[in-house]
Amino acid sequence: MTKLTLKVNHDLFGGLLLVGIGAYAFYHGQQYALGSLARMGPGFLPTLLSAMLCVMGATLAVSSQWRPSSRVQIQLGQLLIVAASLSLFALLLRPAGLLTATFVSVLVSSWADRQITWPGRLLLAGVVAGLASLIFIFGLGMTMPLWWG
Amino acid sequence: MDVIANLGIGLQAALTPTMLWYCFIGVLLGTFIGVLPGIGPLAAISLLLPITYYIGADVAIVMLAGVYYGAQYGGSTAAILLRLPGTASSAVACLDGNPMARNGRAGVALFITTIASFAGAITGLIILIFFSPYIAKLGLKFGSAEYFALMLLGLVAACTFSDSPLKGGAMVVLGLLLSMVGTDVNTGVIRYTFGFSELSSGLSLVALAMGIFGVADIIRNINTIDTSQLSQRFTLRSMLPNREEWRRSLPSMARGSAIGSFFGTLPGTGASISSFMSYATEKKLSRHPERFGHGAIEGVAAPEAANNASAQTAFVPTLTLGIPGDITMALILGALIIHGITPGPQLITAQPELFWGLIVSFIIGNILLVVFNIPMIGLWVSMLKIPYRLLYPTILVFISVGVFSVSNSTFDIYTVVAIGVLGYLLSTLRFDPAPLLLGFILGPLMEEHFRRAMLLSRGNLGTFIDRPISFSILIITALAIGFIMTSSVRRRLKANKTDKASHAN
Repeated sequence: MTKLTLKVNHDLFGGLLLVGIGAYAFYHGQQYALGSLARMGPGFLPTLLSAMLCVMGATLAVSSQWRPSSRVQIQLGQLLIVAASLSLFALLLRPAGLLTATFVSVLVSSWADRQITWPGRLLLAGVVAGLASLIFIFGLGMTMPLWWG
Repeated sequence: MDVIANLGIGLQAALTPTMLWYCFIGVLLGTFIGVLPGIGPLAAISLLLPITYYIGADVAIVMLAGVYYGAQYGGSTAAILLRLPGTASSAVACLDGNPMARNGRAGVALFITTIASFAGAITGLIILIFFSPYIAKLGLKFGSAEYFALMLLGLVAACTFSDSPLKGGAMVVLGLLLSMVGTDVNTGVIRYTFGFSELSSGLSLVALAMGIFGVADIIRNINTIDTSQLSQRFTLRSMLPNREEWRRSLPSMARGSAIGSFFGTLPGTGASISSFMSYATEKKLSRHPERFGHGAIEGVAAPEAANNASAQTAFVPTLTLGIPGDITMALILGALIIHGITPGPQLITAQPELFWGLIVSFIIGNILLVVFNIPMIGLWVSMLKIPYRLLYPTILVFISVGVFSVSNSTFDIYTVVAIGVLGYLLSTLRFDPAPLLLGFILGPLMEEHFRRAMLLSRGNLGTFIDRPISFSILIITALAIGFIMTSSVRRRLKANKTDKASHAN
């Protein structure tokens, strides 16, 4: 899983990403009124900014073709594992409490490391879950459930 | 004499046990966060932000500021010993600090960074003490046109000094666009919420900062940070520089402090830019530029002085004009606003004990940091040995809890996930995320001031030129843009020339 990577030309991919974001924001922003310079509507700046983003992204993507290609590696595996770990925490916090959410979140996120072993992983998850509960619920008195219910 | 009276007010405010305690906690935490690679002061401040709801405004800012400048001290430790910068601004300390460590001068490098940091910080504080009242007086004359022009200058300055001005500029624009999410202040129209009612008050600044500087950094650092080869022990004697090293580093510290003070005061440019600029200056001024990169002590002293000077002078625009000097200042500004304090030209006169109390606490904090970083260096080095694979899952949980506690909603955690993925992609694609956050923070302020200026002048753009202060700021901005253009064209020409030369061979 951690070996899942993607190699791309950073200026080309980056430029296209910006054009994508800009174009979507431009399209979505058309529903807001433009107004005039003296009385700008809610759509004035979004339209202007998304157009600027498209132009900048396009310039970057096009100009990347004249430069010697430089590729970067995107760690897709690590990205997915960390995103999953945080999302699981958010998903579990309300129904299952801080202890469970932390335990599961650490189990998942530690998966991204290549060296950790299963006993180490379980131990880490247990220790962090205990510590987090102690600090946040008993120490700082934050209002969140500790356990199911 | 005013200064002495003012500092007297400050001393009275700062020397209470609670203030001292939070100052101590702040700088201790800051050093800790700064030493650890892979987590920066921004993530730490966003984590602490929710906790500050429970304490007073003055102690909250004292603590958050302590984390900020404390991290500037600690950040160089991992940079020197392991070539892993603890903070973005200490990346420069790797260049010559790490070769020094490999030459057996690690102790000296650590000693000099602490002394340089202290010298820089004190220079910055002197600027802060003497200039703030003047800038605040000037600020009273500012209207919307001036505020807009100044923020524009900040944004332009932020891209001028990034690697590629085009990429930096694109990040500013993306940040401005992200700041459009939520309710439009002037018309009440809800923009870009995609049906989520949680977004109607805008993207949460804490979620954005943690996504970009917490989660994205973690994704990048997993499997790359290795602290296992560390095995140094430090005695005070091994840390003392010899006479030659003192002679070389003292003038560098002075230059670094000056450069850092300047860039810190400018809104939009902060510690990272200061340290890069001062390193470049030292290299240019040196009679033996070839020594740089191989353990030149000037290359350690100057940038460290610069980033600490700028960490202090960044408070000048933040406290006197209400315009954040850099991203961390924006978070601190946010904290002040949460506590019902709106920084601006009136702050110094309306709440002198807050303003001067803060400054005196900064002086106390910096003295504490020298104690933390010279006699206690062994403690921090042993902390560096904590493997990253144990740290990052823990940090992720802390981030989740921190974000959740801002408004007791899990929605913000999902926001962090989305922003974290975007932030990781952007930083891997070699975009500098700092201008993005700056755009996000200044965006709403700029929009408001631009609209107000337009409303007052009935849509006449000439208002920015008719007003002398606004006009002069815009001229400086134009010069900065001109500087970007010419320097990037010159770089392109140079690259072409070397290209042709290599083809000819």
